[in-house]
Amino acid sequence: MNEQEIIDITNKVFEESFEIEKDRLKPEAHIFTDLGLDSLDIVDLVAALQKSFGVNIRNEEKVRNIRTLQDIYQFISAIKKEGQ
Amino acid sequence: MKRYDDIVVGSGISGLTMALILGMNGRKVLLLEKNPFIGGSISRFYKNGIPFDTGFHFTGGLQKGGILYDILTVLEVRDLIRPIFLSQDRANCFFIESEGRQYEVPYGIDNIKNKFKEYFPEETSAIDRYFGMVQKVCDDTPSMNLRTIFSEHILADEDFITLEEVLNKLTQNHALKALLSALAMCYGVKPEEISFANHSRMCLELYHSVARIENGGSALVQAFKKKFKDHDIEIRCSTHITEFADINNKKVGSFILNTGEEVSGDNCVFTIHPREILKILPREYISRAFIDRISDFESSVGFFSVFTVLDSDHEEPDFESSILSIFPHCDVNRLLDPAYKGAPALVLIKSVEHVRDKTYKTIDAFEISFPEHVKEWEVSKTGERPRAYQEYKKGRVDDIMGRIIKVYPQYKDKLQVVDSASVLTFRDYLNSPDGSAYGIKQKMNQINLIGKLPLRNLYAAGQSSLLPGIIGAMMSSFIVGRTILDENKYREFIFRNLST
Repeated sequence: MNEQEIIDITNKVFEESFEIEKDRLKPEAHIFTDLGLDSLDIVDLVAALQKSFGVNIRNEEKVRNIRTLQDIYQFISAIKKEGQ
Repeated sequence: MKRYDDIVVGSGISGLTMALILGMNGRKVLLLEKNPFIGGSISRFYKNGIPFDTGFHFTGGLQKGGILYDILTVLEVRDLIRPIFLSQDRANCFFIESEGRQYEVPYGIDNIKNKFKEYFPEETSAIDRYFGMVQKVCDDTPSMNLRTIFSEHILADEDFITLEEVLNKLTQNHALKALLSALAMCYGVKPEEISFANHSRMCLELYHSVARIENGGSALVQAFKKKFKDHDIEIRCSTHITEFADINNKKVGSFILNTGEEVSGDNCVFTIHPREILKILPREYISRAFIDRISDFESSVGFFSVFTVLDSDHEEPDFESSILSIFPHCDVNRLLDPAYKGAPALVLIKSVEHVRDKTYKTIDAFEISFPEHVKEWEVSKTGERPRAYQEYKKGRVDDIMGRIIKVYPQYKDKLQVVDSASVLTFRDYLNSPDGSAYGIKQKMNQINLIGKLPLRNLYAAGQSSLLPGIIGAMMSSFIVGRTILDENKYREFIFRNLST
């Protein structure tokens, strides 16, 4: 899976699962302050990412450090690489 | 408007536990139950004056120092119930029809290991490794230990490997694999779908001991009721929340009941099925992601049950509580597959019941079943089911009776069917969305719904939240209790009755 695919699928999760408009999905967008998620949304985000990418997300510390969309792209990319 | 500190929704064992934990800590608690009586599936039902168990038949962990022993100690209800430990040398019997053989499984880890080594002398290292792994996973799991529940839930490596994968690595012996995964009947998930860690957490206490409770789950309900009086916990039956009101800053201010009354509460804990929780949350406060997560949860297995009693003139002095599970073959994955068409796994539970001056010898039969089996009648309600459904039920009862007489030929013409229940019966009787026995299916990598909900003063607990069965359901309430109570207060509460 290339980087653009990771970006597209992640953005689709935000568009469809969190109903956030496409033009707000910039890599530097902060998921809490810019996109309006709250801490309780993180579990749902993880579940949605697991499903969309067909991966298991288990490193809770790394999940807690996620702040921006770019962080998610990198996080997924690392998981995908590990899985290969 | 009446004001409470906490409102607890659902009065199964998780709701009872939740209400008592909060009440014992000086909080003003209201417990709501949709049914006209409390207890959910742990309550017994009476037919022709004979008591039968709805959903709670036996448990592990009641031995001194076991999880359930500790839980009941903390809740000060242990002295109010009396465990009936099953015969230690053959607590759980498994008859595997394809092997033509009955396996008597004792309790006590060393006893089980020795017995399995007698049955499978070639497999001693697999047996040792399996039980070593089960023990290690449980030692490393704080969420199943009241004393360490303070620490965060940490997943083990075994949370990311299925039971099936572990067993395949350990042994090629089909009968041994079937016996090591046979307690899947107690949580209702295929070995290829459950993590080895959750399988271990479900099984360990049943490996230590197997007990029934005198007067079944109703004894627990009575014990809780007594404690509720001591702590001024208010119970309202035939009552449920229809609407949230006065929502500010993602906090619910008050709750409108089906009676029209409005009550306020600082917190509200839902111990009902996640799909029932989803129904009541206002759409504008939940994300599509939350809805999808809950909707993706699958159902665990259910049971088709036949409740029978032996004729009163039947003499059998050594009739005692026992459990016999009949597996047609060793493929537990298939037995737990809704599409499987062969003979289902069947569990027979014998019990001696005393009601006033009468004694009854009962046999409850539970055959694996799924909502899929009764799908064509799913819109029907109890008392209004079509003839085809009645025929389905009768056919299944006849089959099960035939299977009982095959293993207990001495009961021919002496065993009376008192009642029977399909998955739909359980669904409607317990207000559950699907009639499954263990809530949602605990699939590997699934993120359960536990603790805070999208509205901040609402919480989820119950058997779907952590692990199925009485222990998992009660532990989920302790986890949520720890969140609601002040940390120090919670710790003091736990160790008030529990030695460090």
